Amino acid sequence: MKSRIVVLLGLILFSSCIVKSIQPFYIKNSESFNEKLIGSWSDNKKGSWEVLSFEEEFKKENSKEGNAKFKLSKEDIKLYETYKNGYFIKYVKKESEAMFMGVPFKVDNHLFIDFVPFEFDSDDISKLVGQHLLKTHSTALVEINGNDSINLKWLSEKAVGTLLEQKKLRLKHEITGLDEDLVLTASSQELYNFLKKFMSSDFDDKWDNDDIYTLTPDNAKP
Amino acid sequence: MQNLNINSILKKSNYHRPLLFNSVLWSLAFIILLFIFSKGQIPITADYTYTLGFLLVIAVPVCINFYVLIPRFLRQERYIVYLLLFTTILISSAFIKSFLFGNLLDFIFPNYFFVSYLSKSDIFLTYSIFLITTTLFKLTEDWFYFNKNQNQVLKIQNQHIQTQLSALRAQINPHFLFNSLNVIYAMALEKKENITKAIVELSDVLRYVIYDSDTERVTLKEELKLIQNYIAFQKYRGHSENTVALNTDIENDNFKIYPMLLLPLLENAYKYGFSGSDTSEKIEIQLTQKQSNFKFKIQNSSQDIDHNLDDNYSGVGLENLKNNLNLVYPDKHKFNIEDTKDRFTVVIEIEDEQ
Repeated sequence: MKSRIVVLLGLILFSSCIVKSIQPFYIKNSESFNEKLIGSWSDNKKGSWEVLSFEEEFKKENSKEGNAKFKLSKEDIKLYETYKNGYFIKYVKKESEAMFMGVPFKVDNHLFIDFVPFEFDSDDISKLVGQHLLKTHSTALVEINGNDSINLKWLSEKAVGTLLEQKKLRLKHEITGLDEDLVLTASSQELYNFLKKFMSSDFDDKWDNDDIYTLTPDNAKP
Repeated sequence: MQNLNINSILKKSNYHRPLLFNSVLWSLAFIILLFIFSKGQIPITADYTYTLGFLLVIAVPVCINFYVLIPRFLRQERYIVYLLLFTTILISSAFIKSFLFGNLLDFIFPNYFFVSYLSKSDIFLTYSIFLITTTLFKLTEDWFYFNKNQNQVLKIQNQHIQTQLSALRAQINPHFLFNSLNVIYAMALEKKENITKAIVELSDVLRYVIYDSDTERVTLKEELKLIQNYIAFQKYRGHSENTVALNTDIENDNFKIYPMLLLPLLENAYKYGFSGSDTSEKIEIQLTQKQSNFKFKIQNSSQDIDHNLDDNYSGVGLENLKNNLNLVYPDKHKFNIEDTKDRFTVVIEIEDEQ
């Protein structure tokens, strides 16, 4: 039980400095599946990542159940249509595990992933806590380095908060909760437009080092 | 009498204040749009910038509508052409705005993020509402000033009528006074004993003519008294009081009429109704009043003289009376003159609800 609470707290801590949004950061025609991200990775913060193709996993899962003809419910079809270009992402750190749905999308020539947590273990107490939590979206810029490693640069509260404080940004948002968390309430189109402008703008502290993860493939030679 | 040229007055009385109108319109638009764009929160720099930019861009189709489409098509009652052009301007400007405005703002203000404002579909709706609202605003302004112009024209017309009436009265008074002074003069020459009485009677008539008649309406009783005084005064001119047969049939002697309507006719009858030697000649007056109807008929013998509607005293006499009736009782009176070989008859009939 203790470890599961840690998972939840871990999720909260993990997302403490990144920008959370009610709506996804991508629009439908910006989705861009990238096979290079599939595989097992280790990050510079002692965490491990497993990235799987949602489409493949979805098909495998339905084959296992003997549904060779893919007799899918409306909900399944909807889920498939939403995430067919996305990933199952498993993040493990200190034996704590969390699953994300990740949808890769392009903003001009930049590759981003929209993250949304979708599953974590919970017992009676953490279940109650979990019911108080809203599964929000976050997004990270993906930079593929020459040595096959990748950088995930999360859009941070620090950068967006600074723009809001400087009164240079009008983006629907709320400051909520005891911790006064910033939650974006803008539509996906507005969030996407924001990312476009964000990437084309040049200002200091665009990325927060605390929110940059460098992922190295597990099969890479040391 | 000169007619009023309303169009010339409307042209001269241009009450439009484009600077005031546009200041009010665009200030209001700025406040409302700023409120909308800031989502009801305290406006930030980005909101002010976006609102200002939005207004600058939308000002182009609005001004085209105000200063080209409305005056050239809507005011000329070319409604279909106006609607077509209005729709074209609306769609084309919204189309241009949706594709260029965001890029233009980003180019001018690279460090500002104008994100949660209008989507492309919202732009068409916002443009439609804005252009229609400003059109109604403009039409309201036009109506306001048109109404003001109309009221001004009515005031001018009223003043004009009052001036004409005063002028007509002013023409009667010296005419009557001139005749009366001639009578007094003649009596003084003849050293007649009752000259003082005549002067008192004349002063009674003059008091009425100068002071009492200077109102919009007088009672029939007062007007009748004037006629009686006048007839009494005429005896000093050698006319016996019996030369006038005054018959009255009055239901309400407080019935109100325009002052000095009857005296000019009586003056006219005295002036042209006697040849000088024939004492049998008579002036016959029939005055009737029943409910809202008033009728005055005066007859005198015709001396083969032009009783004139174009007297040498220009505007004096019957012409004055005719003008007065047209001004005071438009479409509510009859004025008939019958000039036969031996009788001259004038009939005034007035229908006036009181």
